[in-house]
Amino acid sequence: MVAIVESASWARSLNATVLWVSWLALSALLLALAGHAAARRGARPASWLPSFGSLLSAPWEVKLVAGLCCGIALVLGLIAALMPCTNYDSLTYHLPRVMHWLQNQSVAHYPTSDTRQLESGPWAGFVLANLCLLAGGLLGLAVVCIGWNRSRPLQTSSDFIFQPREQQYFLHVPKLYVPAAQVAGDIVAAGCQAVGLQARHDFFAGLDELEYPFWVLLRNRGFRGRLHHVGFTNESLALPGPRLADLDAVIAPSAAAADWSRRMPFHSVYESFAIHWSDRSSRWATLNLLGREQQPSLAGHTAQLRLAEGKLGLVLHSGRPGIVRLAGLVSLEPAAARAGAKLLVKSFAGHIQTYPLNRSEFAVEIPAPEGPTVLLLQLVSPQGGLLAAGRLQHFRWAWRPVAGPLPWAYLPRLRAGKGGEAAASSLAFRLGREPLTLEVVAGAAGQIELLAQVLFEAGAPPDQARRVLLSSPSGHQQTLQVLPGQNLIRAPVVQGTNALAFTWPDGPGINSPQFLSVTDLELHFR
Amino acid sequence: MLAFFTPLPLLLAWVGCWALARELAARNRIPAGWRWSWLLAQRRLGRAGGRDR
Repeated sequence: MVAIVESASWARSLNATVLWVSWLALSALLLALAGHAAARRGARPASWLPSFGSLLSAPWEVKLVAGLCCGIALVLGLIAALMPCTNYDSLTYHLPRVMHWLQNQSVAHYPTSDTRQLESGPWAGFVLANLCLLAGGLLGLAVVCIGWNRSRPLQTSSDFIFQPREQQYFLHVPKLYVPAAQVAGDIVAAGCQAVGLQARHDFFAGLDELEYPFWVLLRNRGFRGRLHHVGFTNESLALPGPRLADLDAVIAPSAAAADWSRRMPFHSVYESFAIHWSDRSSRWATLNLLGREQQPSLAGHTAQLRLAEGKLGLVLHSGRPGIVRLAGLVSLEPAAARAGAKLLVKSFAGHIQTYPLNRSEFAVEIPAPEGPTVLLLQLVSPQGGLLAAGRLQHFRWAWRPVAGPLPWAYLPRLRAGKGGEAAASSLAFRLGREPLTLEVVAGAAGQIELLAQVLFEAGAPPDQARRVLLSSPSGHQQTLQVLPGQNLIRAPVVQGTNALAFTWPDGPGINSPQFLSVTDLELHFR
Repeated sequence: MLAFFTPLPLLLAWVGCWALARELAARNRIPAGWRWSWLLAQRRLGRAGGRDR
């Protein structure tokens, strides 16, 4: 065991392939030697087989020891199958050191905040490393078989035995499971490959933090990167290790957030923990169905989502401000309801937009600040009511970070005439005798584009453009030439609320029948 | 399925150790007492030859 592990480690090849080949070669050598010896003795290999009759005739103390060993093996085997290790020392340094060996493919010393990972006798760790690499899959299968034994369930009541195995690691500190799981989920969602972990280790103050559960949480979520200790001072710091600049993110106690914020520009707090990250880790977002935030994120391409009662709630969780793009095919039930139907997209961070469903394909871009953002998709009938149901097929989503102010704008409300006000959910209005004001909230200064379907009153010549004056409190004024059909209106906006007023430049006569209707208004920020 | 085969070399190595220890005990190259048997390959559970104690 020691020779195999040390040899593989010397070549920095402590991996499953090298161990498998090494153990196979050793097995062949041992069996060949034993077979040769048996042949020279004139015996058959069958003579190696045990005879249980000899156990029955063995001294009583042998039977006692054999019985005790079997009993201990049975109890320990059952506990191991039902529960992960919750021993404090194991979770703090015995098991983490094995994880570091496997990731380094070497049992050489490494920089660590807990030097017990280097000082302890290594043999038991060597055995664990071999079992992890060669027998981990089989042991995992045994756990699954026992846990899913429905014909003979071990216990019908729900208790800690039936918690998820990764949650059982937190039996000592159950309140840490949810934030730790969120940390692991976000690290994986961010695509981090090099992650720093600051764990407090103070033997005398009893402040040791469990490291191994983080390995389990990360691996369970598909983490294939490397985990390094950071933020410590001891003699192992002289060993070669990654530089802080090479790390994508650092997991640290939230109490130490201020220290890390000076070294990494972004951070998110998860109760007891915080993740600090730099620009390198930018793919940081998860999208879940509302109410199922604990489940893995929706895949970037999902076959189908159902809008029960015409609504679909989603939760986007991102570590920094960005834009989420949702796209897919909308099918309505009944299909005949498509005429005039709209898709209303609301973000609880303030974005509201309506998109006409005259095409089945839709694509929306929604600004989202850092942290969780609830997104609500609603199918709206031409009359403004909710449609019964629909489906999003070939649903796709993507997220990208945005530096600086978010380039977005939305229309929270319309104001028409003297005090008339309406939410912009229908995004249709009529410009008659009274001026009309569109309230546009912009996340940054820039230019908006309004796409509007315009109708004139019945009998009006369709090829005769009408002049409409657009003005804003910032001093911008422009005269628009409006024709029936689709019109594109561009206007500058400032960051914050912009009241865009539409009036007739010449002023309509009191009895003028002139008006225009706008339907299917779309707003884009450029 | 692969999970069943990856630990196979470990099991084979243990069987090889068992067989070699029993041969050595049969040739009196190692003590064949039951205390040693537990350490090496449980030689006491069979009758490969050699002394019992």
